[in-house]
Amino acid sequence: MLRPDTIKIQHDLAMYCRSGDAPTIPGTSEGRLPHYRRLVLNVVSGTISQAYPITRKVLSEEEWQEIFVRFFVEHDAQTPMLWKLPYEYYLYVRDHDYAVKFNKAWLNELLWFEWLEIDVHMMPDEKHEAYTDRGELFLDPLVVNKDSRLIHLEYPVHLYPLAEVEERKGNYYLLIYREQETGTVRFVNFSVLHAWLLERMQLADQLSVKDLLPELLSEFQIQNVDTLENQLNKFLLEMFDDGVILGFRNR
Amino acid sequence: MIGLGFRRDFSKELIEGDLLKADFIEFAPENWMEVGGQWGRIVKEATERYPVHAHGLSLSIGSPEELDYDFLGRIKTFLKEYGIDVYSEHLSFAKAANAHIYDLLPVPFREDAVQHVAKRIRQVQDFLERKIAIENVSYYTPVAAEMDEATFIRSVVEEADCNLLLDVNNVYVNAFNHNYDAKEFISQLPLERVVYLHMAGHEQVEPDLIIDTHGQPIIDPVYDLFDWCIQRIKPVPVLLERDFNYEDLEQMQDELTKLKNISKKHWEVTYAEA
Repeated sequence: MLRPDTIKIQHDLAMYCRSGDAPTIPGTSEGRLPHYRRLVLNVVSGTISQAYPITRKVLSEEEWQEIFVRFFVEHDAQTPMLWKLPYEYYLYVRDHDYAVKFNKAWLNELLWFEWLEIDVHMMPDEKHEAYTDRGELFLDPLVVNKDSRLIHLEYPVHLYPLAEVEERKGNYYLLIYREQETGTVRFVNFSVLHAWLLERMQLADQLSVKDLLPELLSEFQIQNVDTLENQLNKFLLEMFDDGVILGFRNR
Repeated sequence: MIGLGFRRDFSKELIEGDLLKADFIEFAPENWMEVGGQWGRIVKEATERYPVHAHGLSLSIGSPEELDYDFLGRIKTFLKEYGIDVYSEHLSFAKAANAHIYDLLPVPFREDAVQHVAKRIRQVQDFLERKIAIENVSYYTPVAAEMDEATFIRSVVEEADCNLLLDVNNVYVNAFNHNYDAKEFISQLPLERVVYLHMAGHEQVEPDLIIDTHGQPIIDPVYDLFDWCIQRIKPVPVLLERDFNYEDLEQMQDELTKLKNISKKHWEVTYAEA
Protein backbone atom coordinates (compact mmCIF):
# COMPACT_ATOMS: atom_id res chain seq x y z
CA MET A 1 0.00 0.00 0.00
CA LEU A 2 1.31 3.40 -0.91
CA ARG A 3 1.33 5.95 1.91
CA PRO A 4 -1.06 8.86 1.33
CA ASP A 5 1.85 11.30 1.23
CA THR A 6 3.59 9.24 -1.48
CA ILE A 7 0.42 9.24 -3.54
CA LYS A 8 0.11 13.00 -3.06
CA ILE A 9 3.71 13.58 -4.11
CA GLN A 10 3.21 11.64 -7.35
CA HIS A 11 -0.09 13.38 -7.96
CA ASP A 12 1.46 16.82 -7.33
CA LEU A 13 4.44 16.12 -9.57
CA ALA A 14 2.19 14.99 -12.43
CA MET A 15 -0.13 17.97 -11.98
CA TYR A 16 2.84 20.34 -11.89
CA CYS A 17 3.92 19.07 -15.30
CA ARG A 18 0.54 20.16 -16.63
CA SER A 19 -0.29 23.28 -14.64
CA GLY A 20 3.11 24.70 -13.75
CA ASP A 21 1.91 25.26 -10.18
CA ALA A 22 5.06 24.58 -8.19
CA PRO A 23 4.45 21.72 -5.76
CA THR A 24 5.90 21.40 -2.27
CA ILE A 25 7.77 18.14 -2.52
CA PRO A 26 10.55 17.38 -0.06
CA GLY A 27 13.99 17.06 -1.58
CA THR A 28 13.19 18.38 -5.02
CA SER A 29 15.50 20.78 -6.74
CA GLU A 30 13.40 23.81 -7.67
CA GLY A 31 15.57 24.73 -10.61
CA ARG A 32 15.24 21.31 -12.19
CA LEU A 33 11.52 20.70 -11.91
CA PRO A 34 10.77 23.00 -14.87
CA HIS A 35 12.67 20.61 -17.14
CA TYR A 36 9.98 18.00 -16.56
CA ARG A 37 7.25 20.44 -17.48
CA ARG A 38 9.17 21.57 -20.56
CA LEU A 39 9.68 17.99 -21.73
CA VAL A 40 6.03 17.00 -21.24
CA LEU A 41 4.83 20.20 -22.89
CA ASN A 42 7.09 19.65 -25.90
CA VAL A 43 5.85 16.11 -26.43
CA VAL A 44 2.15 17.01 -26.22
CA SER A 45 2.45 20.27 -28.14
CA GLY A 46 4.42 18.61 -30.92
CA THR A 47 1.92 15.77 -31.22
CA ILE A 48 -1.10 18.06 -31.43
CA SER A 49 0.51 20.54 -33.82
CA GLN A 50 1.62 17.79 -36.17
CA ALA A 51 -1.83 16.22 -36.17
CA TYR A 52 -3.64 19.46 -37.04
CA PRO A 53 -1.41 21.41 -39.44
CA ILE A 54 -4.34 23.17 -41.17
CA THR A 55 -6.09 24.16 -37.94
CA ARG A 56 -2.75 25.33 -36.54
CA LYS A 57 -2.32 27.53 -39.59
CA VAL A 58 -5.78 29.04 -39.79
CA LEU A 59 -6.25 29.87 -36.12
CA SER A 60 -4.46 32.92 -34.81
CA GLU A 61 -1.57 32.28 -32.44
CA GLU A 62 -3.71 33.54 -29.55
CA GLU A 63 -6.59 31.23 -30.45
CA TRP A 64 -4.34 28.22 -30.85
CA GLN A 65 -2.54 28.88 -27.59
CA GLU A 66 -5.77 29.47 -25.69
CA ILE A 67 -7.15 26.10 -26.69
CA PHE A 68 -3.88 24.23 -26.36
CA VAL A 69 -2.92 25.57 -22.93
CA ARG A 70 -6.38 24.86 -21.48
CA PHE A 71 -6.36 21.39 -23.01
CA PHE A 72 -2.90 20.71 -21.63
CA VAL A 73 -3.84 21.82 -18.13
CA GLU A 74 -7.45 20.66 -17.87
CA HIS A 75 -7.74 17.56 -19.98
CA ASP A 76 -7.03 14.17 -18.37
CA ALA A 77 -5.43 12.29 -21.25
CA GLN A 78 -6.78 8.75 -21.31
CA THR A 79 -5.05 7.05 -24.20
CA PRO A 80 -1.76 5.28 -23.49
CA MET A 81 -0.96 5.67 -27.18
CA LEU A 82 0.36 9.15 -27.78
CA TRP A 83 -0.56 9.20 -31.48
CA LYS A 84 -4.22 8.88 -30.50
CA LEU A 85 -4.14 11.92 -28.21
CA PRO A 86 -5.18 14.27 -31.06
CA TYR A 87 -8.56 12.54 -31.10
CA GLU A 88 -9.04 13.57 -27.46
CA TYR A 89 -8.00 17.08 -28.46
CA TYR A 90 -10.73 17.16 -31.12
CA LEU A 91 -13.32 16.03 -28.57
CA TYR A 92 -12.09 18.62 -26.07
CA VAL A 93 -12.41 21.48 -28.58
CA ARG A 94 -15.83 20.30 -29.68
CA ASP A 95 -17.14 19.84 -26.14
CA HIS A 96 -15.86 23.24 -25.00
CA ASP A 97 -17.63 25.12 -27.78
CA TYR A 98 -14.59 26.82 -29.23
CA ALA A 99 -16.33 26.94 -32.60
CA VAL A 100 -18.85 29.31 -31.04
CA LYS A 101 -16.34 31.17 -28.87
CA PHE A 102 -14.09 31.92 -31.83
CA ASN A 103 -16.97 32.41 -34.23
CA LYS A 104 -15.59 29.72 -36.51
CA ALA A 105 -18.50 27.40 -37.14
CA TRP A 106 -16.35 25.03 -39.22
CA LEU A 107 -13.72 24.46 -36.53
CA ASN A 108 -15.04 21.13 -35.21
CA GLU A 109 -15.41 19.66 -38.67
CA LEU A 110 -11.96 20.80 -39.75
CA LEU A 111 -10.42 19.11 -36.71
CA TRP A 112 -12.48 16.00 -37.31
CA PHE A 113 -11.43 15.85 -40.96
CA GLU A 114 -7.77 16.26 -40.03
CA TRP A 115 -8.05 13.59 -37.34
CA LEU A 116 -9.77 11.11 -39.67
CA GLU A 117 -6.87 11.38 -42.07
CA ILE A 118 -4.61 10.05 -39.30
CA ASP A 119 -7.19 7.56 -38.09
CA VAL A 120 -7.70 6.03 -41.53
CA HIS A 121 -3.96 6.02 -42.21
CA MET A 122 -3.31 4.07 -39.00
CA MET A 123 -6.46 1.98 -38.51
CA PRO A 124 -6.06 -1.80 -38.33
CA ASP A 125 -6.64 -3.67 -41.57
CA GLU A 126 -10.28 -4.67 -41.88
CA LYS A 127 -11.08 -8.15 -43.12
CA HIS A 128 -12.65 -8.15 -46.57
CA GLU A 129 -14.64 -10.90 -48.22
CA ALA A 130 -12.71 -12.69 -50.96
CA TYR A 131 -13.20 -10.87 -54.24
CA THR A 132 -12.39 -11.08 -57.92
CA ASP A 133 -12.12 -8.51 -60.72
CA ARG A 134 -14.68 -10.32 -62.90
CA GLY A 135 -18.38 -10.10 -62.41
CA GLU A 136 -21.62 -8.34 -63.15
CA LEU A 137 -21.72 -4.78 -61.88
CA PHE A 138 -25.38 -4.86 -60.86
CA LEU A 139 -25.89 -8.53 -60.20
CA ASP A 140 -22.92 -9.51 -58.06
CA PRO A 141 -22.40 -8.25 -54.52
CA LEU A 142 -19.56 -5.72 -54.52
CA VAL A 143 -16.79 -5.64 -51.93
CA VAL A 144 -16.33 -2.11 -50.60
CA ASN A 145 -13.03 -0.96 -49.08
CA LYS A 146 -13.65 -1.07 -45.33
CA ASP A 147 -10.42 0.69 -44.42
CA SER A 148 -12.42 3.85 -44.54
CA ARG A 149 -14.78 6.27 -42.79
CA LEU A 150 -17.94 7.55 -44.46
CA ILE A 151 -18.84 10.93 -42.99
CA HIS A 152 -21.24 13.80 -43.33
CA LEU A 153 -20.06 17.40 -43.03
CA GLU A 154 -22.02 20.64 -42.95
CA TYR A 155 -19.02 22.73 -43.88
CA PRO A 156 -16.97 21.71 -46.93
CA VAL A 157 -13.61 22.18 -45.20
CA HIS A 158 -12.11 19.65 -47.59
CA LEU A 159 -13.24 21.45 -50.75
CA TYR A 160 -13.03 25.22 -50.39
CA PRO A 161 -10.91 27.88 -48.71
CA LEU A 162 -12.07 28.29 -45.11
CA ALA A 163 -13.15 31.86 -45.81
CA GLU A 164 -15.87 30.46 -48.08
CA VAL A 165 -17.09 27.41 -46.21
CA GLU A 166 -19.65 29.13 -43.98
CA GLU A 167 -21.55 30.52 -46.95
CA ARG A 168 -21.41 27.08 -48.55
CA LYS A 169 -22.99 25.34 -45.57
CA GLY A 170 -24.94 22.28 -46.71
CA ASN A 171 -24.79 18.52 -46.77
CA TYR A 172 -21.50 17.05 -47.88
CA TYR A 173 -20.82 13.32 -47.86
CA LEU A 174 -17.37 11.92 -48.25
CA LEU A 175 -15.49 8.73 -47.85
CA ILE A 176 -12.00 8.92 -46.38
CA TYR A 177 -10.29 5.69 -47.31
CA ARG A 178 -6.95 3.98 -47.50
CA GLU A 179 -5.75 2.53 -50.79
CA GLN A 180 -5.12 -1.16 -50.35
CA GLU A 181 -1.88 -1.27 -52.34
CA THR A 182 -0.10 1.88 -51.25
CA GLY A 183 -1.67 2.70 -47.89
CA THR A 184 -2.23 6.25 -49.16
CA VAL A 185 -5.23 8.04 -47.64
CA ARG A 186 -7.63 9.64 -50.12
CA PHE A 187 -11.10 11.05 -49.98
CA VAL A 188 -13.96 11.09 -52.44
CA ASN A 189 -17.14 13.18 -52.40
CA PHE A 190 -20.58 11.68 -52.81
CA SER A 191 -24.12 12.76 -53.37
CA VAL A 192 -26.49 11.71 -50.61
CA LEU A 193 -27.79 8.94 -52.87
CA HIS A 194 -24.33 7.53 -53.47
CA ALA A 195 -23.48 7.80 -49.80
CA TRP A 196 -26.65 5.89 -48.95
CA LEU A 197 -25.87 3.18 -51.48
CA LEU A 198 -22.26 2.81 -50.33
CA GLU A 199 -23.29 2.55 -46.71
CA ARG A 200 -25.87 -0.10 -47.54
CA MET A 201 -23.32 -2.02 -49.59
CA GLN A 202 -20.94 -1.97 -46.63
CA LEU A 203 -23.60 -3.12 -44.18
CA ALA A 204 -25.35 -5.68 -46.39
CA ASP A 205 -22.33 -7.14 -48.11
CA GLN A 206 -24.22 -10.12 -49.50
CA LEU A 207 -26.59 -7.96 -51.50
CA SER A 208 -25.99 -6.79 -55.04
CA VAL A 209 -26.84 -3.33 -56.35
CA LYS A 210 -29.83 -4.95 -58.06
CA ASP A 211 -31.00 -6.26 -54.67
CA LEU A 212 -30.68 -2.81 -53.15
CA LEU A 213 -32.36 -0.99 -56.00
CA PRO A 214 -36.01 -1.25 -54.82
CA GLU A 215 -35.08 0.17 -51.41
CA LEU A 216 -33.08 2.94 -53.06
CA LEU A 217 -35.92 3.86 -55.43
CA SER A 218 -38.33 4.01 -52.53
CA GLU A 219 -35.97 5.94 -50.25
CA PHE A 220 -35.34 8.64 -52.85
CA GLN A 221 -38.73 8.39 -54.59
CA ILE A 222 -37.18 7.90 -58.00
CA GLN A 223 -39.39 7.02 -60.95
CA ASN A 224 -36.96 6.92 -63.84
CA VAL A 225 -35.11 3.65 -63.31
CA ASP A 226 -33.19 3.70 -66.58
CA THR A 227 -31.63 7.07 -65.89
CA LEU A 228 -30.71 5.96 -62.40
CA GLU A 229 -29.11 2.75 -63.62
CA ASN A 230 -27.06 4.62 -66.19
CA GLN A 231 -25.91 7.02 -63.57
CA LEU A 232 -25.12 4.25 -61.06
CA ASN A 233 -23.18 2.36 -63.68
CA LYS A 234 -20.91 5.36 -64.17
CA PHE A 235 -20.58 5.89 -60.42
CA LEU A 236 -19.71 2.26 -59.67
CA LEU A 237 -17.06 2.15 -62.39
CA GLU A 238 -15.48 5.29 -60.96
CA MET A 239 -15.47 3.71 -57.52
CA PHE A 240 -13.67 0.69 -58.96
CA ASP A 241 -11.07 2.97 -60.51
CA ASP A 242 -10.61 4.88 -57.25
CA GLY A 243 -10.15 1.76 -55.13
CA VAL A 244 -13.33 2.38 -53.14
CA ILE A 245 -14.86 -0.80 -54.56
CA LEU A 246 -12.32 -3.59 -54.46
CA GLY A 247 -14.04 -6.17 -56.62
CA PHE A 248 -16.88 -8.63 -57.06
CA ARG A 249 -17.53 -10.87 -54.15
CA ASN A 250 -16.58 -14.51 -54.81
CA ARG A 251 -19.63 -16.68 -55.11
CA MET B 1 23.65 -9.05 -30.18
CA ILE B 2 23.57 -5.31 -30.84
CA GLY B 3 20.17 -3.89 -31.68
CA LEU B 4 18.54 -0.64 -32.64
CA GLY B 5 15.34 1.02 -31.48
CA PHE B 6 12.89 0.86 -34.41
CA ARG B 7 11.78 4.33 -35.52
CA ARG B 8 9.62 5.37 -38.45
CA ASP B 9 12.25 7.68 -39.88
CA PHE B 10 14.69 4.89 -40.65
CA SER B 11 12.31 1.91 -40.76
CA LYS B 12 12.66 1.57 -44.55
CA GLU B 13 16.44 1.57 -44.33
CA LEU B 14 16.37 -1.10 -41.62
CA ILE B 15 14.06 -3.33 -43.63
CA GLU B 16 15.32 -2.81 -47.17
CA GLY B 17 18.70 -1.17 -46.91
CA ASP B 18 22.13 -2.32 -45.86
CA LEU B 19 23.43 0.82 -44.19
CA LEU B 20 22.23 -0.16 -40.71
CA LYS B 21 23.35 -3.56 -39.49
CA ALA B 22 21.40 -4.44 -36.40
CA ASP B 23 21.15 -7.93 -34.90
CA PHE B 24 17.70 -7.19 -33.53
CA ILE B 25 15.26 -4.32 -33.20
CA GLU B 26 13.13 -2.93 -30.40
CA PHE B 27 9.53 -1.72 -30.70
CA ALA B 28 7.68 0.56 -28.35
CA PRO B 29 4.35 -1.31 -28.46
CA GLU B 30 2.42 1.94 -27.95
CA ASN B 31 3.65 3.21 -31.31
CA TRP B 32 3.09 0.06 -33.33
CA MET B 33 0.27 -2.01 -31.90
CA GLU B 34 -3.14 -2.16 -33.61
CA VAL B 35 -1.81 -0.38 -36.67
CA GLY B 36 -2.68 -1.34 -40.24
CA GLY B 37 -2.02 -0.15 -43.76
CA GLN B 38 1.48 0.90 -44.67
CA TRP B 39 2.75 0.89 -41.08
CA GLY B 40 1.13 -2.45 -40.36
CA ARG B 41 3.00 -3.92 -43.29
CA ILE B 42 6.24 -2.39 -42.06
CA VAL B 43 5.77 -3.95 -38.61
CA LYS B 44 5.21 -7.31 -40.25
CA GLU B 45 8.22 -7.00 -42.54
CA ALA B 46 10.41 -5.87 -39.65
CA THR B 47 9.38 -8.82 -37.49
CA GLU B 48 10.09 -11.16 -40.39
CA ARG B 49 13.57 -9.77 -40.86
CA TYR B 50 14.68 -9.23 -37.25
CA PRO B 51 14.28 -10.71 -33.79
CA VAL B 52 12.21 -8.16 -31.87
CA HIS B 53 12.22 -6.90 -28.30
CA ALA B 54 9.38 -4.76 -26.94
CA HIS B 55 10.00 -1.83 -24.62
CA GLY B 56 6.93 -0.16 -23.15
CA LEU B 57 6.37 3.51 -22.52
CA SER B 58 2.91 3.92 -21.03
CA LEU B 59 2.20 1.06 -18.66
CA SER B 60 3.19 3.38 -15.82
CA ILE B 61 4.39 0.64 -13.55
CA GLY B 62 5.18 3.12 -10.76
CA SER B 63 1.82 4.84 -10.89
CA PRO B 64 -0.27 5.21 -7.74
CA GLU B 65 -3.31 4.28 -9.82
CA GLU B 66 -4.71 0.88 -10.77
CA LEU B 67 -2.94 -1.08 -13.48
CA ASP B 68 -4.60 -0.68 -16.85
CA TYR B 69 -5.48 -4.31 -17.57
CA ASP B 70 -7.24 -3.47 -20.80
CA PHE B 71 -4.04 -1.92 -22.13
CA LEU B 72 -1.98 -4.76 -20.72
CA GLY B 73 -4.20 -7.22 -22.54
CA ARG B 74 -3.62 -5.39 -25.79
CA ILE B 75 0.13 -5.50 -25.17
CA LYS B 76 -0.12 -9.23 -24.58
CA THR B 77 -1.92 -9.64 -27.88
CA PHE B 78 0.75 -7.59 -29.66
CA LEU B 79 3.57 -9.66 -28.14
CA LYS B 80 1.81 -12.88 -29.11
CA GLU B 81 0.93 -11.72 -32.62
CA TYR B 82 4.55 -10.99 -33.47
CA GLY B 83 6.20 -13.68 -31.35
CA ILE B 84 8.03 -11.21 -29.11
CA ASP B 85 9.62 -12.83 -26.05
CA VAL B 86 11.34 -9.91 -24.36
CA TYR B 87 9.19 -7.18 -22.84
CA SER B 88 10.53 -4.42 -20.63
CA GLU B 89 9.19 -1.28 -18.98
CA HIS B 90 10.51 1.65 -16.98
CA LEU B 91 10.89 2.01 -13.22
CA SER B 92 8.93 5.24 -13.29
CA PHE B 93 5.39 6.53 -13.63
CA ALA B 94 3.77 8.13 -16.65
CA LYS B 95 0.22 8.40 -15.37
CA ALA B 96 -1.16 10.04 -12.25
CA ALA B 97 -4.16 12.15 -11.29
CA ASN B 98 -6.13 10.14 -13.87
CA ALA B 99 -4.07 11.38 -16.79
CA HIS B 100 -1.24 10.16 -18.97
CA ILE B 101 1.76 12.49 -18.98
CA TYR B 102 3.72 10.89 -21.86
CA ASP B 103 7.00 11.23 -20.02
CA LEU B 104 8.79 9.16 -17.40
CA LEU B 105 8.52 10.70 -13.94
CA PRO B 106 10.63 9.44 -11.03
CA VAL B 107 8.99 7.33 -8.35
CA PRO B 108 9.88 8.46 -4.81
CA PHE B 109 12.64 6.20 -3.48
CA ARG B 110 10.68 4.91 -0.48
CA GLU B 111 9.88 1.56 1.08
CA ASP B 112 6.14 1.82 0.44
CA ALA B 113 6.90 2.55 -3.22
CA VAL B 114 9.18 -0.49 -3.35
CA GLN B 115 6.37 -2.72 -2.14
CA HIS B 116 3.80 -1.08 -4.39
CA VAL B 117 5.87 -1.20 -7.57
CA ALA B 118 7.12 -4.74 -6.89
CA LYS B 119 3.55 -5.93 -6.43
CA ARG B 120 2.52 -4.34 -9.73
CA ILE B 121 5.47 -5.89 -11.56
CA ARG B 122 4.45 -9.29 -10.18
CA GLN B 123 0.89 -8.67 -11.37
CA VAL B 124 2.15 -7.76 -14.84
CA GLN B 125 4.38 -10.83 -14.95
CA ASP B 126 1.49 -13.06 -13.91
CA PHE B 127 -0.76 -11.52 -16.53
CA LEU B 128 1.79 -11.70 -19.33
CA GLU B 129 2.96 -15.15 -18.20
CA ARG B 130 6.59 -14.17 -18.44
CA LYS B 131 9.27 -12.35 -16.54
CA ILE B 132 9.71 -8.77 -17.57
CA ALA B 133 12.75 -6.51 -17.29
CA ILE B 134 12.59 -3.18 -15.52
CA GLU B 135 14.77 -0.26 -16.61
CA ASN B 136 16.53 2.20 -14.34
CA VAL B 137 15.47 5.66 -15.54
CA SER B 138 17.22 8.99 -15.65
CA TYR B 139 15.86 11.68 -13.32
CA TYR B 140 16.65 15.31 -12.81
CA THR B 141 15.67 15.88 -9.21
CA PRO B 142 15.21 13.58 -6.24
CA VAL B 143 11.57 13.32 -5.19
CA ALA B 144 10.97 12.87 -1.45
CA ALA B 145 13.58 10.13 -1.31
CA GLU B 146 13.99 8.06 1.83
CA MET B 147 16.59 5.70 0.43
CA ASP B 148 19.26 5.91 -2.23
CA GLU B 149 18.53 5.05 -5.85
CA ALA B 150 20.60 1.86 -6.00
CA THR B 151 18.86 0.46 -2.91
CA PHE B 152 15.51 1.37 -4.43
CA ILE B 153 16.21 -0.38 -7.72
CA ARG B 154 17.73 -3.44 -6.05
CA SER B 155 14.82 -3.73 -3.63
CA VAL B 156 12.17 -3.44 -6.33
CA VAL B 157 13.83 -5.93 -8.66
CA GLU B 158 14.46 -8.49 -5.91
CA GLU B 159 11.05 -8.08 -4.30
CA ALA B 160 9.32 -8.43 -7.68
CA ASP B 161 11.64 -11.22 -8.80
CA CYS B 162 11.97 -9.58 -12.20
CA ASN B 163 14.88 -8.92 -14.50
CA LEU B 164 16.85 -5.71 -14.83
CA LEU B 165 17.29 -3.69 -18.00
CA LEU B 166 20.35 -1.67 -17.23
CA ASP B 167 20.48 1.62 -19.10
CA VAL B 168 24.14 2.56 -18.91
CA ASN B 169 23.56 6.07 -20.23
CA ASN B 170 20.93 6.66 -17.56
CA VAL B 171 23.43 5.67 -14.90
CA TYR B 172 25.93 8.10 -16.36
CA VAL B 173 23.33 10.89 -16.56
CA ASN B 174 22.16 10.34 -12.99
CA ALA B 175 25.70 10.08 -11.64
CA PHE B 176 26.51 13.41 -13.28
CA ASN B 177 23.29 15.14 -12.23
CA HIS B 178 23.33 13.86 -8.66
CA ASN B 179 27.04 13.76 -8.15
CA TYR B 180 27.70 10.12 -7.43
CA ASP B 181 30.12 7.54 -8.74
CA ALA B 182 28.63 5.61 -11.66
CA LYS B 183 30.76 2.49 -11.22
CA GLU B 184 30.07 2.29 -7.53
CA PHE B 185 26.38 2.67 -8.31
CA ILE B 186 26.43 -0.15 -10.85
CA SER B 187 28.28 -2.36 -8.40
CA GLN B 188 25.39 -2.02 -5.97
CA LEU B 189 22.81 -3.29 -8.47
CA PRO B 190 21.74 -6.94 -8.75
CA LEU B 191 23.90 -7.51 -11.82
CA GLU B 192 23.04 -11.20 -11.98
CA ARG B 193 19.52 -10.10 -13.01
CA VAL B 194 20.64 -7.94 -15.95
CA VAL B 195 19.19 -9.40 -19.16
CA TYR B 196 19.40 -6.40 -21.43
CA LEU B 197 21.43 -3.20 -21.80
CA HIS B 198 20.44 0.16 -23.26
CA MET B 199 22.87 2.75 -24.59
CA ALA B 200 22.10 6.25 -25.87
CA GLY B 201 23.29 9.79 -26.25
CA HIS B 202 22.29 12.76 -24.13
CA GLU B 203 22.56 16.53 -23.99
CA GLN B 204 24.19 18.69 -21.35
CA VAL B 205 21.88 21.70 -20.94
CA GLU B 206 23.45 23.33 -17.88
CA PRO B 207 26.88 23.09 -16.26
CA ASP B 208 25.50 20.59 -13.77
CA LEU B 209 22.59 19.06 -15.68
CA ILE B 210 22.31 16.47 -18.44
CA ILE B 211 19.00 15.65 -20.10
CA ASP B 212 18.54 12.12 -21.40
CA THR B 213 17.47 13.10 -24.90
CA HIS B 214 18.42 10.08 -27.03
CA GLY B 215 19.13 12.65 -29.69
CA GLN B 216 22.92 12.70 -29.86
CA PRO B 217 25.70 10.20 -30.41
CA ILE B 218 26.97 8.28 -27.39
CA ILE B 219 29.90 10.10 -25.79
CA ASP B 220 33.19 8.41 -24.90
CA PRO B 221 32.72 8.41 -21.10
CA VAL B 222 29.49 6.42 -21.61
CA TYR B 223 31.32 3.96 -23.87
CA ASP B 224 33.95 3.67 -21.14
CA LEU B 225 31.28 2.97 -18.54
CA PHE B 226 29.74 0.38 -20.86
CA ASP B 227 33.16 -1.24 -21.34
CA TRP B 228 33.61 -1.41 -17.57
CA CYS B 229 30.07 -2.61 -16.95
CA ILE B 230 29.94 -5.51 -19.37
CA GLN B 231 32.99 -7.07 -17.72
CA ARG B 232 30.76 -7.60 -14.70
CA ILE B 233 27.72 -9.17 -16.31
CA LYS B 234 26.95 -12.15 -18.50
CA PRO B 235 26.54 -11.50 -22.23
CA VAL B 236 23.16 -9.91 -22.96
CA PRO B 237 21.58 -8.04 -25.89
CA VAL B 238 22.60 -4.38 -26.17
CA LEU B 239 20.37 -1.73 -27.71
CA LEU B 240 21.20 1.65 -29.20
CA GLU B 241 18.36 4.13 -28.65
CA ARG B 242 18.00 7.16 -30.89
CA ASP B 243 14.78 9.18 -30.82
CA PHE B 244 15.62 12.06 -33.16
CA ASN B 245 18.45 13.57 -35.25
CA TYR B 246 18.47 10.66 -37.68
CA GLU B 247 20.14 12.47 -40.54
CA ASP B 248 23.44 10.67 -40.30
CA LEU B 249 22.69 6.96 -40.43
CA GLU B 250 26.35 6.14 -41.08
CA GLN B 251 27.21 7.73 -37.78
CA MET B 252 24.52 5.60 -36.10
CA GLN B 253 26.04 2.53 -37.71
CA ASP B 254 29.42 3.59 -36.33
CA GLU B 255 27.84 3.54 -32.88
CA LEU B 256 26.46 0.05 -33.46
CA THR B 257 29.87 -1.11 -34.66
CA LYS B 258 31.62 0.39 -31.68
CA LEU B 259 29.19 -1.29 -29.28
CA LYS B 260 29.75 -4.58 -31.07
CA ASN B 261 33.53 -4.26 -30.87
CA ILE B 262 33.49 -3.51 -27.16
CA SER B 263 31.08 -6.38 -26.53
CA LYS B 264 33.21 -8.80 -28.54
CA LYS B 265 36.34 -7.73 -26.72
CA HIS B 266 34.98 -8.88 -23.38
CA TRP B 267 32.22 -11.35 -23.97
CA GLU B 268 33.79 -13.49 -26.64
CA VAL B 269 37.02 -13.71 -24.67
CA THR B 270 35.12 -14.66 -21.53
CA TYR B 271 33.29 -17.38 -23.37
CA ALA B 272 36.43 -18.67 -25.07
CA GLU B 273 38.13 -19.00 -21.71
CA ALA B 274 35.14 -20.77 -20.25
